[in-house]
Amino acid sequence: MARVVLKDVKKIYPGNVEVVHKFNLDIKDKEFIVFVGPSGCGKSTTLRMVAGLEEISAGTVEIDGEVVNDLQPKDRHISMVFQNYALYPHLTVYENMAFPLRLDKKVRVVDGKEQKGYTNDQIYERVTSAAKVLGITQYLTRKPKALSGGQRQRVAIGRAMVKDCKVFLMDEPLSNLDAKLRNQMRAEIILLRKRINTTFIYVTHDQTEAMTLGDRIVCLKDGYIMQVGSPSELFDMPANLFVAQFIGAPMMNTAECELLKEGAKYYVNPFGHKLVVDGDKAKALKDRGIESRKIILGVRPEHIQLAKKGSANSIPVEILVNEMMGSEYHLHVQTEDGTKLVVRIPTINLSEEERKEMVMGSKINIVFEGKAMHFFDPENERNLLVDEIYGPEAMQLELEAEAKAKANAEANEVPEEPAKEEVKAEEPIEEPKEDIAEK
Amino acid sequence: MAAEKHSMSMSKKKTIVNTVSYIVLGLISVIWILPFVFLLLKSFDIGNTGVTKNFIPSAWGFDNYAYLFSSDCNFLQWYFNTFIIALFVCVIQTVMQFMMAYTLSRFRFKLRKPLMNIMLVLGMFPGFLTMIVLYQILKTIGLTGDNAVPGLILVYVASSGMGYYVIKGFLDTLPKSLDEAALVDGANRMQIFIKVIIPLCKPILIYTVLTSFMGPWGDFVFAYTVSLGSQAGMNVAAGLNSWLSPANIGSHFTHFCAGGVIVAIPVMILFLFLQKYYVEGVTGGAVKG
Repeated sequence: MARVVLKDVKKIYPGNVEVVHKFNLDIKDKEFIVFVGPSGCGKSTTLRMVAGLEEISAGTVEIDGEVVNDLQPKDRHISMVFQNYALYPHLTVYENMAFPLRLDKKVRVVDGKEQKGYTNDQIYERVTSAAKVLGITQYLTRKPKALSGGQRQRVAIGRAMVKDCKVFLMDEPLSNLDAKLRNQMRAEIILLRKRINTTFIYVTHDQTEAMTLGDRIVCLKDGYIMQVGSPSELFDMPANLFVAQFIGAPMMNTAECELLKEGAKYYVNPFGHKLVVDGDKAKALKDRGIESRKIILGVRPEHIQLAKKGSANSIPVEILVNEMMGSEYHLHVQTEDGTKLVVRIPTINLSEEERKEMVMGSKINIVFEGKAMHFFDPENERNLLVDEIYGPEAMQLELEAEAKAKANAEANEVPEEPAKEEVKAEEPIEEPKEDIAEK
Repeated sequence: MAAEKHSMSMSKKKTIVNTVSYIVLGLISVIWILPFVFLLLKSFDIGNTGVTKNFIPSAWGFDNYAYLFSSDCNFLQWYFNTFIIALFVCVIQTVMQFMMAYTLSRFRFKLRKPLMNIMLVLGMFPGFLTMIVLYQILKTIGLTGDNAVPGLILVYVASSGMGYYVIKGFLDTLPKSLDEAALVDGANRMQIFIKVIIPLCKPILIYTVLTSFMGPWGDFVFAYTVSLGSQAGMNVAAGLNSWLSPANIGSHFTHFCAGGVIVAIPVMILFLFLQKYYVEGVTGGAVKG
């Protein structure tokens, strides 16, 4: 149970390769935070820096108010589950789980008596109760090689559970399991989290895991934080095109077009159709005083519906590929101007005739509402309706702010007036830095 | 029909190839094993203690063995010397090679690559190139002649770190996440090495123990040079060799053969005892698989 604070954490590998850039994050006590991103985005590296398995090149990591940069992993009060389980093959399941307890020689007070480490009885009690929770009691005498993948991962979780830790780290724990087992284990991790009730940092490349498990998600790309927020924030209000396309499956459809302001109304003109923007999105655009401009329009596949031919705002498309997923169709379609889109259509509401229509080459009509639209700036790919700035741009701003502050400090020695002006100029730029730290 | 014919000719061909292979292999085996058989038979020959042309002994008995253990023979002294040398070298060399291999496999430090390259190049020179120099050094510190045993231990052990290759190759196949898991679980490097790595290295540990015991056990060149004719400092190879000198060979040849058989015994026991671990792999189930 502890707050974890990462301040300006950097990872620079030999040869001056910077893989994590000024990572700022405040993880609250008992929060379940998920680092998600494509491979090579620095999520595992960051986790390993928290664990102490990777040296921190710059910045600090605090666990429970203590800077742990120079502490050994064993002194950081963490537990960790690895992607490949990392069980000790020569030990039985019981001994695997007892391993951290046997190594712990700290003096603690139990029942008013000082005691070094754990007694065998205490170890037995802890291991068996953890095994019970995870449903692996019958395997305690087996060696890891006699277990299936799912059972091994349970043992690995059990080994991490038995010791008292402040932070529970998980590095892609489900990636090696098959899809069915992964779903099952995901649900179990949610239950486990309730039971252990500690701070979790969970690394995954799977956006479904991130969405289902996380209190907050940290979406990463190339060592930069691209957005921090709750799953629904990331899904409904992605801060930039990267997050928009990373979160959600299949990924969000995009089209370059124009946002047109005509009087009090807003329109977009993708694929040669003029569509009205209504509802909250129109209001938000208006509140921000956004004028006509070029945009990238984003619409999620699940927010596109079938329409009757000729109905308002409907767009005729041709089906290129139809993927039958059981409960829904994933239709890969092409508009008249050649833009390719993906559409998710639930099968349950379709009549037999409509289903017959969903074949390659047939023409259908689709429609999406104004509230389903996302508007991105084509230049910096930021969401026009989100204030927070993330990624390389945020760091650039931060560096500029720092440079100015430095210049200020130097200028302080000479006449005061110009220095004051610069302080004013700096203030709005500081904002994004706080967003990253607090959000 | 055609297919049947074809298959018949295939099996015939196979039979011929097999027969030829077995004949060749059999011949090679006979050539290889003949000296051992001769040695064994000669060790039981009590008809003539010198070199004879007959393969089968003219008279059988254990006299040659009895002579080895009699008080007017230095064999036991040599045997004991060899055993002490081999034992020390075996233990020290195994420990050093494992530590070296673990370090080079798991840690990254600045001179790691250059160090490995230097050792690779140094390893290419035959050991006896340094013999004269080593002898001079040992002589200076008084570890030759009668004191050859500690001197020899020193010589064998000194470069043992350089034989890390095979172990490092094995350690590289053990997932690093095991070390990391143990680190998080609260182990220090020494505990990881002893409690996690070593138990997983059983096959390669056995291999290392065997090779580092066999090396000094059968060594002749260094032992001969360093002991320099001193009966008290000789190992068994150098000692037995002294029976092959023109002056001794006539009276000691069968003793030499008996000594050779006795020398082979501990190595055979060691190998029989350790071989079941040798073939047994223990890494199953460590990580995904």
